[in-house]
Amino acid sequence: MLRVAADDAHAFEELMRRYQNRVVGVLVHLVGKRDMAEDLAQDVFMRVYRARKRYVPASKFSTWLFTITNNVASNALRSLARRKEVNVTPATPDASGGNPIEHGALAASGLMPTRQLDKSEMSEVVRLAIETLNERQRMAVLLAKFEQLSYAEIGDIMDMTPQAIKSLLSRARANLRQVLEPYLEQGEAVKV
Amino acid sequence: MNNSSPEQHDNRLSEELVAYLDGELSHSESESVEARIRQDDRARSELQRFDRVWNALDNLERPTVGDSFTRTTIEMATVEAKKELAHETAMLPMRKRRRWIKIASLATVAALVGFATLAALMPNANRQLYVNLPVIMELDAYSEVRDIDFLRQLDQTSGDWLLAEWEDEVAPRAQALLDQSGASLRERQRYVDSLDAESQADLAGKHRRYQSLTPEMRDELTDWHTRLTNDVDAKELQEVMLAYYAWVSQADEIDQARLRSLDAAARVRRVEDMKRRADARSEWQLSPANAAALRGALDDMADDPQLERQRRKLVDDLMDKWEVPENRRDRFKLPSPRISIKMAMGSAFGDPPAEIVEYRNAIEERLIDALDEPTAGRLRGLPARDRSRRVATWLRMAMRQPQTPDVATLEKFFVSGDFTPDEQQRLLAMPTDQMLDELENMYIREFVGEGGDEREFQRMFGHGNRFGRRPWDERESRPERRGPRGPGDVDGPDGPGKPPRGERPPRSRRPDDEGPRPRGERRPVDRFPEDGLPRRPPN
Repeated sequence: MLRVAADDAHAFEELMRRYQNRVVGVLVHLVGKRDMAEDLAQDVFMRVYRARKRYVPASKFSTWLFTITNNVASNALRSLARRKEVNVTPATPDASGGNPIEHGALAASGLMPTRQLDKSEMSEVVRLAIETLNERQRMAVLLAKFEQLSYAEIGDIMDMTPQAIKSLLSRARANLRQVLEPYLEQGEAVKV
Repeated sequence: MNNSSPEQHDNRLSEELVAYLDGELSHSESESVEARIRQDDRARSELQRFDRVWNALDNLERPTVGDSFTRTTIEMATVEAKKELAHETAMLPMRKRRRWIKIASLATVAALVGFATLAALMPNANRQLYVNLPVIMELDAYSEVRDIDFLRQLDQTSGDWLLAEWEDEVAPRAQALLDQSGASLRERQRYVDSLDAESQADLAGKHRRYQSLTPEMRDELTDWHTRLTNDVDAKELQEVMLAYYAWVSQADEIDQARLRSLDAAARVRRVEDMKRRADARSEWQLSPANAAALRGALDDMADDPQLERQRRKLVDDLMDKWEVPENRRDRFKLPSPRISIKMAMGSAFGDPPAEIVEYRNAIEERLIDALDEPTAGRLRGLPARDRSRRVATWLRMAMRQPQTPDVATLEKFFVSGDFTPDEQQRLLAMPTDQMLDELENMYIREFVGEGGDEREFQRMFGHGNRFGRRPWDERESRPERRGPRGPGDVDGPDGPGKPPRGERPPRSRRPDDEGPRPRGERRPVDRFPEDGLPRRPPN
């Protein structure tokens, strides 16, 4: 990033190649739509580019990058919610009562927890389970699971204390457990 | 006294367990949790359930983006850089006091614009080629295989033999693919520039095919490439993909389509099945090298005085046996040695007299000796009758392999043959068709040799009538095919298979398609049958 800040010719391309899949990966699961996620990811990188001179080396670049990602995603989701275009944040498990799969897309898909799921089915179940989380839980889960960031780093990104992140992740995992466990009941039979 | 509700207590326990799994607890907190889970079955069970669910998230699909995403974003950055430049320019008059600093700053921005322009909007018709170079380089392989699970299973099941068979071809391509996948645009440009003209033309052809694809198909290929290169086993899987493509390109279109229609596991099974069948067939397939060896052995035997004496004795013995009167024996014309050898071997399919069997055994041993060691060994392991029949069949096949003389062959024969100037003049004075007919006759006489005639040639090569001539280009041309070529190319993986790598017909033998050898290489006693004189004095 320091090379980008110094207008190093190739650094920005290199930085993009290193982080673009990670940013898009987080955004896809935050907003639920691939094309929108890519647009937002471009917005993230443009913000990075515009703010390159303000980058403070003391902070970890990935923390800075995902802070921008979180802000961009939050803005987009708020904007969408206001326009009521798409309900990109499904109801929380508690709101629907019981296992949301019984009410949601999983039920519609005809997937039954009584049989072993193949890899693509399991992937879909997990995707839908992630969608049942609220925006903050989802962000915290994605950063903890796939970026392996600490609670403190996630707190920096989401402007929350580590203790709040601890509670947030605990609730998120409890929700995920509620949704996914019926599919994992077969125990190790679920091979992926 | 603890005033928390059971629900709050559960929440705290969950938080501690989750934080423990995430490694977020201090040493003492971790010890406390560990003590708890040792004593409390419910806490232990909770911990396992949290862990299992967390691990299930590994199944979440991780989308990837391709070069087009990078490209368009850099283009956007270029516009941004231009805006910055325009802004700085507009601000200049207001900052006269620090003009020199601005100039330096402008130079930096200009350099960035220059980079962005070069990197993103490079005014170069080849930009698309550089951006998508890895995909274009292996366009066919990426189009053939788009399933990472299949590659993984294939690597485990068939990776060894695939890579062993195609290593020479695959290794440099896989390395180039790996290098270019991680290369910048400029490095890719340098790589393309470094290719020789033929490789550049090949790449240009692939680029044209890539351009003819729909944008969706191009994006799909780019996504596939990105997924593959991001895999932890990218190098191995790319090698297997290239080797598989090299192998499957040899199969006929129906087999290729059938393979593409199968899911990963069934496809791997089918590959293995095809490989097994090809291996079983190739064991008893006459390789080009062995065919050439048999023809060479036939030539040697035809010129062998000892075998010739044995042949003449055999004829005499048979005439004695069949009590042919002396005064009628000269009516039987002795065929050429080649015909005799072929007929003797053909007797393996019948029940010939012992004299012929003896002669055949002598021939058979010489023929087997000429074959490569593994093949000879396999033959010697067969029962005598099967062995003789196999050798007879192979000999017949080997003798059929030389193609009918086309115009090119006849012209080569004319040029390389030791025609006297008078003969050449006589031939050249003829109308073309007549000259070719005459050359054809001479070619046949040359092939059949002493004591032979055209009918023998026709019998030998299965031509009841005068064979047709093919034009020049038909002889050399081959249909264009996708993918790499290699030994065994004609027959494919389901066919007889290729000869072992590096194997070539022995140089001491005549090339398979050259017909009779040049006259200069004929046996020393090379005379006109009519007058018994040498055709031309030695130079």
